[in-house]
Amino acid sequence: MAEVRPDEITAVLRKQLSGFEKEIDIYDVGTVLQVGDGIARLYGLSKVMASELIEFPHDVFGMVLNLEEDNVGCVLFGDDTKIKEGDTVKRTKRVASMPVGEAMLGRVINPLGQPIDGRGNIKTDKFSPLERKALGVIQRQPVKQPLQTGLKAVDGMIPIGRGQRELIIGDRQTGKTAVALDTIINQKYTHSEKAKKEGVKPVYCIYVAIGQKGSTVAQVVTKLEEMGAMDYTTIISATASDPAPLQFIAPYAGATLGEFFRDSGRDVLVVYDDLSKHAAAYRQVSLLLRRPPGREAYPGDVFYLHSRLLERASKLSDELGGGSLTALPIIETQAGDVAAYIPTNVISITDGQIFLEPNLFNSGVRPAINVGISVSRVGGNAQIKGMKKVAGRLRLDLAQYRELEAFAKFGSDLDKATQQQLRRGSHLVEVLKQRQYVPMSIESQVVMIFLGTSGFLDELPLDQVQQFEKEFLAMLELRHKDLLDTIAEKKELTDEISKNIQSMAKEFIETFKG
Amino acid sequence: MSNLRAAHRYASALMALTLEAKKPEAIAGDLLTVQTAIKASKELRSLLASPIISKEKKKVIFSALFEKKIGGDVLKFIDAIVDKRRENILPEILAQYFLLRDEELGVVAVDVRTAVEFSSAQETRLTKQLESYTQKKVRVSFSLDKMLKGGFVAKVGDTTLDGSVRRQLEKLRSRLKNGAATKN
Repeated sequence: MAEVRPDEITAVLRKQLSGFEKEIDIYDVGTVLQVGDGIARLYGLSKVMASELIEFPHDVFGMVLNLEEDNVGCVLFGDDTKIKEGDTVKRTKRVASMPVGEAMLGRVINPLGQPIDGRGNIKTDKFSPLERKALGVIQRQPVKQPLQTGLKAVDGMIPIGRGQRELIIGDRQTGKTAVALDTIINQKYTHSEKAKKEGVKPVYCIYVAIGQKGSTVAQVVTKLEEMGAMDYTTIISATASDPAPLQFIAPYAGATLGEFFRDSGRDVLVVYDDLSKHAAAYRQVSLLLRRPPGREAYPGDVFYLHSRLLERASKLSDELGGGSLTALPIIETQAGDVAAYIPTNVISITDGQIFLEPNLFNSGVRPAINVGISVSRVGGNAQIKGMKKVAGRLRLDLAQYRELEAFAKFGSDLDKATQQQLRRGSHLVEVLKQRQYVPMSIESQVVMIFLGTSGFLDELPLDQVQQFEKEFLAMLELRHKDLLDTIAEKKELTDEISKNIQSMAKEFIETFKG
Repeated sequence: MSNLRAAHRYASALMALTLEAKKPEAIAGDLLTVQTAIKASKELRSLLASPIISKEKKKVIFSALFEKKIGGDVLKFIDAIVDKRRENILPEILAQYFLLRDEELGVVAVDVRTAVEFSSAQETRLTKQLESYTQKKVRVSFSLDKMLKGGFVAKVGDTTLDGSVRRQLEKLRSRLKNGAATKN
């Protein structure tokens, strides 16, 4: 180990101290009148701005939210037990902002930009304000490029585009975070050389954990590291034990960091997990600041809370670099009640939703997406030609199947056409099932959905469909990789290739059955 | 908090009264007399705060105390606030009044704390600098605070001008702690 000589130490210290100028420090101060419950009321600070950061003693920061006649109401981003009445507080003259930069990738940070993964300081040059007005109409362009989630059900029928906002909504334990995580893991492909050749731009990911258990966030970090996804992901964590003000600003921190990447011409995906807890944290802060409560005790501006967050997701025009910010907010419903206050608010803001149902989940359909009521308002514009062609019939077939599902109990008492519809539908449901953490490439998805909708799998017994898929795709990867690559490159399923796949599938089924 | 608001409103009323009066300094002077008396006497403060003593008794006491010393306007004002049962915030009203008066006259009260005793030449120099900084007349009050280790701290309203050695040491400490020393 190299030794640090004493004169080296002296030299460094001297350098640091000599560059230190003696000048008068000018700062504005106020006094704490009242402190408690994470809120402080301050006297003085006549020139303070709304949403400005204030420095309390003991390295605690706060943000000014209420500017009243004789006092200033401030939320604390830290432990309020060390703050006493009469303490002096200083203005930082900085509206709430966080450090942004490339160095944030691969790190776990808190909403103030401080690292909490124990891997040292993060060096950034820029500070960006947390609250920013979203872009106007002229600066945007329509969403055209697909954001592949790697889930057949989503990419086939509820496709997400880059720059869209798609809500993931469902009861607890239905797989909402799983859908978001699979999407993040699937973006690994976009950073490869192969993707570049196919004209697919890399997607950077930001996962914002609001009010979750610390152990859950740790599991997410571990899983992403395991799948090699942390290289292009940042995790912003405000767990349940963090003060409500930190949970309140966490999504805005995610959007701010995302905008940094978007404004430099790159594509970003931001997952807000979850906004129900965010609304609850904002309710806590508002009530403690004595703002009048509205419906369900939420403050009157809870809609604005989410709308200004989600409006920052956009696809920029080419003049501004053509970057995009895709948002995947997550909302937890209670007992499937999507007509409650917060869920209806966020549904009306986003460009579509993915409904996850506990019934489907429990009967083995995972991802437990209810295709009937899930929608993506961007739709076909965000699909490659090949997928659009094969998935066209998918929705219709499934809808017809669901209508007839109740009659399935009658079995052979039905006419041939109905039986065929039931068989096709049940096989399609099997095809759409997928295990966690194995997102599929778009070309494999196209192949599988093609086989499903054209009826090649109907002769297989239901419980063998998944096995068939696994082995067939493995065989294609091994012996006919060029076929898959052609689909990926051309982004469509030509007649030649579909004929090829059909014959291969026929062969494979024979060997499979035997 | 609501005391402060009420005090501010009464003080503004007093201010309006002062501006309209033929001799504003007289009213200000009377109010200063009252304020000094309150500051000096613990019994007077207790009297103001006490809810037990009746309004009439309080009015009689105030007349007896201040009749010969101050003008009719201020005495009437004290009677008015006793009627409204607001005599308990009289000290705050007076404090707010003098703040407003300072603002009106373009005077800024500056609280300067120094580490060592300043000579009168130094005091004059500092006062001049503060006047050019604030662009107003300053009323400086000097006091000693050895904890500053050197230099001075001047509080002008909300703004603090911190030229103390203690502050420089604090800044140095946080700079070294945050790894500035690793930059080359």
